[in-house]
Formats: sequence, C-alpha cells, structure tokens
Amino acid sequence: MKYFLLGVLALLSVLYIVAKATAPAKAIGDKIPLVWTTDPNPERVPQVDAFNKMFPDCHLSIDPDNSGVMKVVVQSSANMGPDIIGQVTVGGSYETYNDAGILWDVTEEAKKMGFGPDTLPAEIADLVMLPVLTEAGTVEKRQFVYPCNVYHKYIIYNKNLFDQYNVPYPSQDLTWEEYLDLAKRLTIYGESKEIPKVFGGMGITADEVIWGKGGAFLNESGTRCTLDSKEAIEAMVFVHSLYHKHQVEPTPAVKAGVTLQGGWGGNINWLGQGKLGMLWGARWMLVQLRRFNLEQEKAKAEWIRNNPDAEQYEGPEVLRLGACLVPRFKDAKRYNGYGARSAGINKMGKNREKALNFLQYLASKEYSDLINLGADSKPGNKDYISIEQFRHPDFQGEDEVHQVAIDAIPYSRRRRSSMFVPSPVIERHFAKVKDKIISSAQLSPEDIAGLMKDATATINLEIARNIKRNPKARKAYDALRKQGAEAISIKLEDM
Amino acid sequence: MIKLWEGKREKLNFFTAVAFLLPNMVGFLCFTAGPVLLSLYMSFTNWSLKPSVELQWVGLRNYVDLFGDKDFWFYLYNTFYFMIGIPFAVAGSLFLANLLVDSMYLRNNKLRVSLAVLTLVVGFVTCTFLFASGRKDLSLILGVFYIGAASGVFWGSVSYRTMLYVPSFASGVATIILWQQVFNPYHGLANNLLGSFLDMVGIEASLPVWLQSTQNMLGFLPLPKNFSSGGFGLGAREAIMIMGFWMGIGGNNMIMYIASIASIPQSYYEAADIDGANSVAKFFHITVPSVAPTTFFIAIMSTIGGLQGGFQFAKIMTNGGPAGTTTTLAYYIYTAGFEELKLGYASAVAWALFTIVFALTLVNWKYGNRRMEAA
Amino acid sequence: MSKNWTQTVEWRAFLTVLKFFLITLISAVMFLPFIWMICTAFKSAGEVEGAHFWPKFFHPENLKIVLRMIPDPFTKQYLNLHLARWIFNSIFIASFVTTLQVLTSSLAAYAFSRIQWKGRDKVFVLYLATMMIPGMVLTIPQYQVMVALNLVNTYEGLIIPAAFSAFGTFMLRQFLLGIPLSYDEAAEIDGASHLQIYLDVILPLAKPGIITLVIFTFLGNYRNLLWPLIMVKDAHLRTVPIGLLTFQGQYGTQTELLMGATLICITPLIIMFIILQKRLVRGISLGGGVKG
Repeated sequence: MKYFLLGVLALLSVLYIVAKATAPAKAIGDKIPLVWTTDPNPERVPQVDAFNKMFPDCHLSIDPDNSGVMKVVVQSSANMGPDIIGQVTVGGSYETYNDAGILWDVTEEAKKMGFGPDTLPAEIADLVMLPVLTEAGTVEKRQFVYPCNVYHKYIIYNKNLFDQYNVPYPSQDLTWEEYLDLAKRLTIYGESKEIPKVFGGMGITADEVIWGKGGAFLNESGTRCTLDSKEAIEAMVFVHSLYHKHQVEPTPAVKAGVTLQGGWGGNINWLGQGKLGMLWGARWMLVQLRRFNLEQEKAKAEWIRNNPDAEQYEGPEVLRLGACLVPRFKDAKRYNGYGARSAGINKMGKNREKALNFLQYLASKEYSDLINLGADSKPGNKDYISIEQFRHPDFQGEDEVHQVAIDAIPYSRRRRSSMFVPSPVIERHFAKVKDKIISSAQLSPEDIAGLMKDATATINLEIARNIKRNPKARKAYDALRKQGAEAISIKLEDM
Repeated sequence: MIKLWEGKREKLNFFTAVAFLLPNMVGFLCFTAGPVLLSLYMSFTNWSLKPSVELQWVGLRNYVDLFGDKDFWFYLYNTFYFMIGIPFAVAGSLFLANLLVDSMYLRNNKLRVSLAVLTLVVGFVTCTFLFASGRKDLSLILGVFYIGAASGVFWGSVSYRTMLYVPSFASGVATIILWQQVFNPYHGLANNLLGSFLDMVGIEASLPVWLQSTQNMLGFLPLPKNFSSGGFGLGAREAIMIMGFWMGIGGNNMIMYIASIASIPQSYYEAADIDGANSVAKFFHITVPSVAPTTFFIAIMSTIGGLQGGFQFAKIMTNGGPAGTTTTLAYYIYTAGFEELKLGYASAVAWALFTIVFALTLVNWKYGNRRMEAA
Repeated sequence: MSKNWTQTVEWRAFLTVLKFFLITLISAVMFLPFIWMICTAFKSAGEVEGAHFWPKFFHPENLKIVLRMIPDPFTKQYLNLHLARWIFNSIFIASFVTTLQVLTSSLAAYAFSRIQWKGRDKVFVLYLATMMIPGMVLTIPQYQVMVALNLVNTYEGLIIPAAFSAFGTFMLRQFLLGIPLSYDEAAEIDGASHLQIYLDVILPLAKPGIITLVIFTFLGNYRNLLWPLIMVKDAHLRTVPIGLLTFQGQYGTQTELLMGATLICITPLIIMFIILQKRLVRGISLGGGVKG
C-alpha cells in the first residue's frame, strides 16, 4: 500500500512535468494580449485571425463561455475579468453586466474611433445605449457595447411548398388576417389527425403581438410594468387563440410530435425538408438552410447523372426560399423585434484602451464581410448592409431573404429596459404566464387578464422595492421624475 | 491516579486527532469554511453585485422577503417533489448491488464458455434475420441484449456493472439531448413503451406530453394557484424524475453498496448458512443491517443532493419551465444571484435551504445511528 | 416438503437462469441510451432528430471531423478541437485531485472514527454541515481566495481546492465505522501507534471504500464543468467539459459531432472503471487483512 502510494505520487510528478513542459510558451512576444469571452464555435476562428492581422500589435484569443453571465461576473468580482465581453445581449445580459459595473462607458471613444451609434442604421441606433445616472443627477443614455451581429425578425418561407399546395405567396404588406388564412391553408394533415404532416407557420413570438396591439412591457422611462394594460391583455388573448382556436401555431406538445431538439435547429430543418411553410426567424437561419441547399444540389446533380436521357429534372426539388415581413394588425403599425449579440469592454481590464480596437474592428469592413459571407445575421455598421454585400458566390437565389432583412429595419422594436428591475425578472414572470397560455386550451380571457395582472403586480413591487431600498436607484428615479417620467404604481410611503 | 492516566490518554488522543485532521482541515478552512461563514453574514446584508448598491446590514429583511416570496415556496415545493423518487432509487441500487457483489461466474468453466458462445450464436442468427427483414432497430436492441447476456455469462458481474455504470459517464449535454428524445411525446421511447403497455391492458388514454406539460402525479392536490399545477397526469417533473432514476440507480450508490457489501465478513454468512437461512433472510438479516452506515451516508448525501439538485436540468433542458414547474431552489439561487445580482437574497435562500437540510440530517443522524447500534 | 423442493438442482438452475435474465434485461435497458449515443455519432445532421437508432446512412466521417483528420465539409475548416490535450488535462487533474483527496480524507476519516476525543461528533456534524450550503453562493468568495493565492488560470488552481473534500471524509468515515473495533484493539495491545494502525490495519481493510472514493472523485473531477470554466483562461488548460462546449453554437448544437467527441472523451473513464471495479468483490478486504 505504502509503495503503491509512492508509485502513484511518482507517476503524478511525471505527469506534472509533462503538463508543464507541453504548455505552449506564450508565443505572442511583446504583443498585447486581449481575451474575448464568447461561444467557441468554429466561426470565431477566422474572426480572430482577421483581427490579429488588422492590429499586429495585439494578440486576441478566445475564452469559451456558454454559461450566461456567471463566469464574467465571478471573474470580474476579483478584477480578473476578460478584456472583451462577448455574448452581451441587449434586453438581457447587457443590463446585467452594466448593473454589475463591469462594462466600460465608451461613448466618447466610440465617437472618435468611428463606432458610435451613428454607424448603426438610425432605427436601431438606440440598441447600444443604456440609461445611466450621471454625476449631475440626470439620467442620460450612454454607449457601452458594439454589436457583433444584429438580427431582425421576419418570415422566411418555402416557395416549393406554397406552389405544391397552390397557396399564394404572402404579400409584402402582410396582415394577421392574411397570415391566419395562409397558415391554415398550408397546414396539411396526413394520416394523423393530431399532428399535421405540413405546418403552415411557426415561431410567432408574443412580443410582436403585444406591440402590434399597442401594448408594451414597460413604460418609456422604465418606472412601471405595463403588461396589465388593456392592449397587452388583448394581445395575450390573441396569442392564446393562435395556439388553441386557430391552431396556426403548434403547441409544444404538437411540435414535439415532429421533433424535440432544443432551440431553432428543429424548425429550420423542417423548413428545409418541406414540412413547414413559413418560419419566423432571421437571416441567420441561412447558416443552416445553406447546408440543405448544398445537399439538395448534390442530390440533383446525382439524379441527372443517373438519368442522362431524362428531358427534364424530376427528382426532389431544390429548396427555393421567399421572405416577407411579420404581419401587422389591420389599421395598425407593424413592429418586428430585433436584437444583437454585442461585445463590450471590461472597465477594469488592463488593456482596455487597446480593446477599443476590437469594437472598432466590429464596425470594420473586414469583420462585416465575414458576418455577411457566413450569413451570421447582419453586421452592425450600416455601410455594410446591402444586398450586394450579403450575397454569397456559392449560393444563388437568396436575394429575397437578403432584401427583407433590410426591409425589416424601419419596423424595429425591442423590449424596453428599466433601471429599476433586471430584464431577467420580467422575462421569468412573463414566461410563466406565456407557458400557461400555451399549455392550457381552456383559459378564458378573464383568466389571462388575471395572470397578466398578477405578473405585473409582482414586477411592479420589485421596482418599488429597488427604489425604496437603494439610494442610488432612488436618486435616478427622482431625476427621471424631474425629466417627466411616470410615477411608479405603488406609493413609496406605503411600503 | 486513574483520572490523570485518563486525561493523558485523552490529551494524546486529541493531539493525534488534530494531526490526522490537519492536512484536510488546512484546505477546508481556506476554501470552504471562510466562504461559508461569509455567505451566512451576507444573507443578512443587501449584498449585490451592483456597485451602485452600498453594502448594508439589513437584519432579517432577506428572510422576511423570502417568507413573502410566493416563488420561493413554489420552488421549494418543486424541490421536494423531485426528491420523492430518491428512496426508490436507493432501494434499487441496494438490490442491484446485492446481485452484483459476487463475481457471478458460473463455476463450470466449460459450461461458461459454451453458454456464452451459444448465446452469441442464437443472438447472431436472430438479429441477422431481423436485420435482413428490415427491422433494424429491433435487431440492434436485441443485439445489445444478447451481447450483454453473453458477456454477462462469460465475465460475470464485471460486465453488468460496467453496463449499469456507463450512463453515469455520459453526463452533461449529451445525456440531456438524449433524454429530450426519449420523452418526445409522439415517437420517444417513453411513450412507445407506455403506449404498447396501455394497448396490452386495453386502456384508452391519451399519452403524456412529458417535458411540455405542467401535469404531475400530485396534481389533484388543492395547491395555491401560482404552483402552476396542470392537474393529475405525467408531466415535466415526472420526466426529470425518471431521468434522475436512470442516472442514479446504477450509479454511485450502487458502487458504494457493492463496496460496502464486499466488506461484510464472510463469517456472518457462513454462520447463517449453518442456521439454514435462505438468501432472502440473509439479505434482510445480515446485508441490510451491515450496510447501515452506508445507507446512512447515502441517505444524507441524497438529501443534500436532492435539495441542492436540479440545476443542470433546469439550466440546459427546461429553463425551469414549463411555467416554473421544474425550477428548483438551486436554480432559483442561480437566477437570483447571477442574473438578478441579488447575492444577499440568494444567500438567504441558500441558508433557508441549509436549515431544512440540516434538520433532516439531524433526524437522519438520530435514526441512522440507532440503527447502526442495533447492527 | 417445500424444503425438498427448493433444494432440487432444477430449482437452483432455474433461479440462476432467472437471475441472469433479469440482470441482463435491466443492464440492457440502462445501456440502451448509450447505444443511441453511438448511433447518433454516425448520423447526418438532418437525421439526428429521428426516433430510430440505426442510421439510414452511415457517416463515419463524423468521427474524422472530430479527430481533425478532415475539415468540416461545409465550412471547409478544421474544427478547433484538441481532444488529446483536453483528455490529458482532465486525466492529469482528476488523478492528482484523487490522490490528494484519498490521502487527506482517509486521515481525517480515521480521526473522526477511530480516535476517541472530546467533541468529536459535534465537530464532525459542523464539518458535514458545510456540504449543505448550495455551492453556488460560495463561488465568488472561493474565486477571490484563489485570486489572493495567485492560483487562477493554473493547474494548481484546478487541483488544490478540490483536494480537500468533506464528501470523501464522510464517505470513508462510514466505511471505517463498518470495520470492527476489535482489529485496532488487537493492534494497540501489540503496541502499535495510531499511525501504524492507520497504515497497516485500517487502510488495507478500507480498500473497498478507497476504491469507491477513487472512482467517484476521478469521475467527478473528470467531468466537472463550472469551476474549471471560471478558473481557466488559457487554451492549453482546457478540460474535456469545457472543450465540448465548442459544439454548442449560438444557433444550436451539432449533436452528431458532440456525441462522437463525447464517446472519445469518456473512453478513458470506462477503461479506468473496468480496471478498478474488478477489485470490488466480496471478501477482498477481510480475506487478506485479518489473518494475524
């Protein structure tokens, strides 16, 4: 036993030496190291290479992180955070990182170095800005991030399927009536009476419906949750009818009848395989759809090779895509959601000045070209958003999808954020309501109103508590009130 | 005189104990004790990761908030719900361990080889036939069975233990993707089995939709409205419990029981043999009492693990949904602490949880120690 | 009468066959999901979601992509995978932690079970209690300790904090409690010190417990994700679980490649398990140690 233990220790020492010896020497010389936390997927490799080529005095490397904000928050609590924080999502972790005091205010630098909000399309310039309390006691919007890519929500549809079932393509000024009609006509049942073999449409999000009906998640200044408004409730009643009365949106149970892969992978595959007519999504779906295109072109070439005498191609059709904007309500404005995966700079980073180069790089042509070519949604910089730049030499016939990605920009809208309640809190309570609406067909409009009111009251209580308990939040609230903001729903004195 | 002698001995014992404890305690004090005490302190403050919030002693405010937090009670209920399955999993582990502790070799070497070869040949013929007739999946599944049987006959329990323990290796995302497929309501393995069983006994019932359903086995209870009970049935919670059962039964607990049964002196069994006890009696009268310390350990670790569990599933598989039914306190601590940055509140939740675990452990301790003494 | 009947050879043979059948059935059912993983590793991306086990078309090139023998046919790039390095790191860290933990835990377990001292059980309960705090709230202070000790982003930072566990101590204590006290009493009469009793009597007797602890600790550390994810910055320190994150992109998971890589990465674990668990059979400890 004793000798065994000694043997083990000797072996471990050898392993230790091997581990140390094979650790690559930091071959970056006197270059300035920059660390970027992001998802480590293969697309990042050329992006890093291009940056290092563009700024030869820096050495950028990736630190993998798929764990939400935890890693960066813990590291930053000891001033050990990365230089560049990727995976910053507007309407989610952006507020969290900023609340945690991790992000560096780059408003002035951005103006000088050419990555300010003016480089973004005007409709979404607000994307990079967050309200903060200034020293002077007013609330101002400041910039902390620059988008890595921007998506707008719109509908991509499978033209083959519309042709096969003689359904007209959706119009460019789509209304909900038209959408319901098309989706119902394209929902085809086969042997099973429960699960369609072809779905008309999929991927509706409640946000667009709420905005379309004139509702909102928060009021403009973020002092009140407004999900209990007449409009928001009406919108959620409509969402309920989409699932249960009209059945144009499959409930998870029905959807699971076809597949159960998490995320968007499933739906996109169905669109590619001709099981789904219209899919709410964005340009990034091309990443996956192009794989289908490749496979189908290959199959076609093979068919032609095997049937040299055939006069025309009779094999499985190659996917043809169309695209249109999301529907609007009659006599009402159209809104489509948008969002961005962004990157910000660690305030405490040693090389934060150099890290500015990275945000500058995100606005550059080199980076934008990579995003465009990979169809990883759109780059942030408006100079590089055009059909010509979106096109990929190997994939033809995508122009419509490219075009609508640009057409959607004027209808941009996203959830407002509040200085007084973290976005994840709103999402958690809203998701609970949404799950109940989706899972129970029997809910009456009164039930839905009740659920929405309960959720709103909880969120509003959270807002009031924050203002009551945190003197800085109180200060910001008072400043906002002076700037004309609406009062919170609970009297502070009553708490 | 005698007293002094006793004191000396105790003194010696004490310092010996300290010496034995030292290597572990250095690290323990450094990496665990400090942070634990800090988190206790922080649960009485408004500790937030927001630099705008100045650290303040707030007394019992976090705990008062906690009592009024409807979500806390809901998630506590969820956490307990998931623990219902634990005793069954532990009993299953003990059962398997008892079967697998012996090497299970057939005594006759020739018989062993010929039986294994025979199984393989029969299996090969059956599976080839099935494969050729197009039932590839059935052939594959039966193939696994035959190969398992052959290697079980040949290698004995070593082979079975490996087959049972392998699920524990394949943890993480791969397992979770796998189980999402198993619980697919329309073509997942779970509903295929359930459906054919219902057909067999002739019951007409709609099959559960598992991970998308808020139904649960206790859905008939008159629970508060915010508990999102979707009525009686099989839902997301049951799906996760079954998954936990799969990962738990052949996993660490089984190995621990095997090790524990292996240490029972053989003489106990020999004495029982002389008394003419059958194997069931030997199991209940020798094995079960002898492994009591291990059972005690497993009971405590399962309580701790159960009450702190559910984080990974919630984070990767369900996001805590549908309608919060799979959110456990561990996941709530994560969201409160790292998404909403309220670490003081998260610490209070953690310490409320601690109180429950600790109380349960003390009960266990009393009961477990009594049983050990009886053994 | 019934006694005769249960003593017959036929009945015994029937019981043996039944036992084998039952245990084979349970094992096979438990093993099936693993088979599904293997099958999925050879499927095409579009086929991953299917309900069937057997791939319609075999794609052995999936494994080649994972092993970086060929580039991803779509992006035409080699994947950014370094399986050998990850597996080496995981094995190195896990075995180091395991060795240290067995040493410190068995010593502490001895003090908590074989030595009589005042307040022993009370100290033990306190010690145990630290396990009952959800680790999530301890992350930040623990990380700050690591920063203060300058251990962030090093092998030492991954090894040292894991080397002291209340779990191991508790588990071994329970095993030691199962060993009759008469053994150390006999040794004590022979004039052995506690250290000698620990080394020569208790450790050999506790072998099943130690092997169990080795299995658990090694496995647990091999696949530990959260702590290494926070601690590691440099690519050459990445372990298997961090590396496997590569397959979870922004827009979904490359399931078929993930399954292939997972299979490759857990192979060392399976080999280790087969070797170790062979030693867990009835009578190992008391057969060898008790003779004297």
